[in-house]
Amino acid sequence: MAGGMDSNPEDSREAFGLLRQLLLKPEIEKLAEISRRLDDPEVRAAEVGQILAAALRRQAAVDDRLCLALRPLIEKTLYNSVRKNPRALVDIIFPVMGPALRKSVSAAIMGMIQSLNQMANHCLTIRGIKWRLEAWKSGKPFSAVVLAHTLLFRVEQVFLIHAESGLVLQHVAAEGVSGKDPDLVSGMFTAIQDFVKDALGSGSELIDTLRLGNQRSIWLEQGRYAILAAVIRGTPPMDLRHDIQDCLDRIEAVRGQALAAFDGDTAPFENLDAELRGLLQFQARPETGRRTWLLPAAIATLVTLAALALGLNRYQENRTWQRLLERLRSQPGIIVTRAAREDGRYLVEGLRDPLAPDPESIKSACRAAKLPVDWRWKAYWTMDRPFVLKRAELLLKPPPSVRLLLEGGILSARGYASHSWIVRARRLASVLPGLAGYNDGQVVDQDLVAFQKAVQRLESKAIYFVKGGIDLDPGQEPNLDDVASIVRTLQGFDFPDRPGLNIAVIGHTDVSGTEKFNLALSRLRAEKVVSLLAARGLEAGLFNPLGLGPAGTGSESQALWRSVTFGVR
Amino acid sequence: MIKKKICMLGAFAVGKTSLVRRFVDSIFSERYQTTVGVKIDKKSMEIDGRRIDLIIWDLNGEDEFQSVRTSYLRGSSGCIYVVDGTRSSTVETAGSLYGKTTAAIGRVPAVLVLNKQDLHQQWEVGDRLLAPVRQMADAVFYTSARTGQGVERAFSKLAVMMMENSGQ
Ligand SMILES: Nc1nc2c(ncn2[C@@H]2O[C@H](COP(=O)(O)OP(=O)(O)OP(=O)(O)O)[C@@H](O)[C@H]2O)c(=O)[nH]1
Ligand SMILES: [Mg+2]
Repeated sequence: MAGGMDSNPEDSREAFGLLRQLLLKPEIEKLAEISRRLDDPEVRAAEVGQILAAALRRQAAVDDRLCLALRPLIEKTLYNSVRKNPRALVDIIFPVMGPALRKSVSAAIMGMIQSLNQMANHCLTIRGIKWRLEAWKSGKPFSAVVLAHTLLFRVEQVFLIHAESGLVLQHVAAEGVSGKDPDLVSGMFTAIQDFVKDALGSGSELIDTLRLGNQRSIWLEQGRYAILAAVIRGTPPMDLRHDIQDCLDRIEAVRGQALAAFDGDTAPFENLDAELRGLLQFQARPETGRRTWLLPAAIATLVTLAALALGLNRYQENRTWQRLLERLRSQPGIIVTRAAREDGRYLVEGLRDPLAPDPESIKSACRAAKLPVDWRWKAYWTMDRPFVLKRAELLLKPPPSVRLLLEGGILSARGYASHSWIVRARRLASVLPGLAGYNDGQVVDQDLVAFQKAVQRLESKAIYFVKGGIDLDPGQEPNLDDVASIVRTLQGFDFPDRPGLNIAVIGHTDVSGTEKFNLALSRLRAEKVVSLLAARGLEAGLFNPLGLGPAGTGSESQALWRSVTFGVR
Repeated sequence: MIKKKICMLGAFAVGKTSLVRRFVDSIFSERYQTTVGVKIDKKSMEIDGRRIDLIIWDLNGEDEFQSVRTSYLRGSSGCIYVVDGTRSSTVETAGSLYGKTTAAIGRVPAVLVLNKQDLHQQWEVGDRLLAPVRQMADAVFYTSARTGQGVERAFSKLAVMMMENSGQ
């Protein structure tokens, strides 16, 4: 059997196969099975699937190579998936994140309100108390009121700095704000400014903003002599920059000399306090504080709230403004030609009679004292009755014994006054605007009355002479003295609008003697009286001697015989 | 209220910062921390019953690395020149700083202080060396930031001179 096997190779190959079959059958079957499994993707997939989870778990436990290998794949997959269908991711994530999101937003708001609440509780400022009152009046929760008042920005401090030395001329801070010594802070501003100027060359622009962290900034405005610096929290509007500039301009305009001459004495600048306080502005809006991925949601909520609060503020301010305008428009003596809101301030332009009430007092009277209003008035004279009358009174200055009345455009004066007042009033009234005429017919001229009385007295006087001569009757001296004193009284009156005083001295004779002789005698008698009066110190030129000759024979005329009488033109 | 800006000038490490610290806070430290740029301090004092605030600009010392920025001197009403008595070279620096300052802001009251008086064994600056700088100063003081000797007097003297200078 063995030899046959050796001699026949065919047989031996077959026998070997058979033997192999006999010996290795299970292994061969296994091999075939394995190669089938390896060749058949279906089967392989099914198998890898069975062990994949376990394999990943094991490998992950060993090191993170698998992790590193998978990361780009997973990232790319996620990316593609989200790009194709974002909704899916949201759907997946929302059930988990939604509540957390809501909770976090409300926590952020609550946290903020609480801290605000705390802040307001903490510093019992006037504003804090006002907010409490407002909350109490409106029935809103206090925190809501605080929120409404919280800041979009706030000017915390304002420094007026002497540019050259960096010394603080005046400093104001908002309520509750305390910082380093203003002198030191201001010194640093100046040093920084100097440093930059040095570093960048003298032609370089000046610094106008410094940042302190991401919350605070300092706005600097440089004038000729002074620097105005505002420390601001938050994000202010550009309007503020203009306000700062304006403020500095005003200060330099008014205090330019004191600034130029500044030598360390800050006294001239102490009353700029109010001016600087005008810059301690703030604007309401909640502060969001923490920067989280929730920020957009939180901001949206807060902005809405803030907009409401701002709106309310604006609305109230606007109402005050309208009220003020109404009052101004209805005020006689004031004509508003333009009213506008510019750069956060209000502007009123118009005409104002100097006699009209002060607009500032009107402002306080209609509870608008705090409204920042700039006035631009041109003077004018209104024709309103009370103003015309008041103006006439101011201009004519009537004595207490005269009353002015205005009827149908005609100004009339009544009472007693001096001659000079009457003349002056007549002249002034003729140029007073708004009058149809002036009537002083009912004003008694006190001087004229007195003058006329004196004239009457003089004209009733007579100086008597001896028969046929120019010697005075005995006892006529006192009579002559009387005449002299009356003439002096008349001289004391000054009527610039009347011709000068001139007194006729008239000589008379009796009826005896010739006509010619009597005329000459009467003339001589008149001249005699003039010379006697001149001897009493009176100026001869005042008198005009006349000789009338013989007086008549009637009883009245007989009283004139041998006399000299007087007449005033 | 009266406020005056004054400047501390001198070579590096002469004790400018130490003098200010002694004057303002009454402390002294052995540690040397050089000033870079400028440091500003303030001290209120009373002169003849009137309050005056000194705003003290402590400038960096003059050396080969940084020189004094003359723009910091602007608006200064007075200067304190500091010399380190143990280093004769600092006298010359004080002199050149005086020239620089006067050119920049004109003549203002000046006090010369010879500092580190407590180290008299190592004293280097004698009268002959000092003669030229004595001329430029309105008053000279021997001081020690360490013991406080002469410090208050030097600042007071400057304050009085500044007040007189502006007729206040
Ligand atoms: N013994 C002694 N040491 C002093 C005195 N004054 C200052 N020092 C020391 O000198 C060193 C320099 O002092 P600073 O005050 O920093 O000098 P500085 O002039 O401000 O120096 P710079 O700012 O670099 O220009 C420090 O180690 C001080 O402790 C003093 O009066 N006596
Ligand atoms: Mg120093």
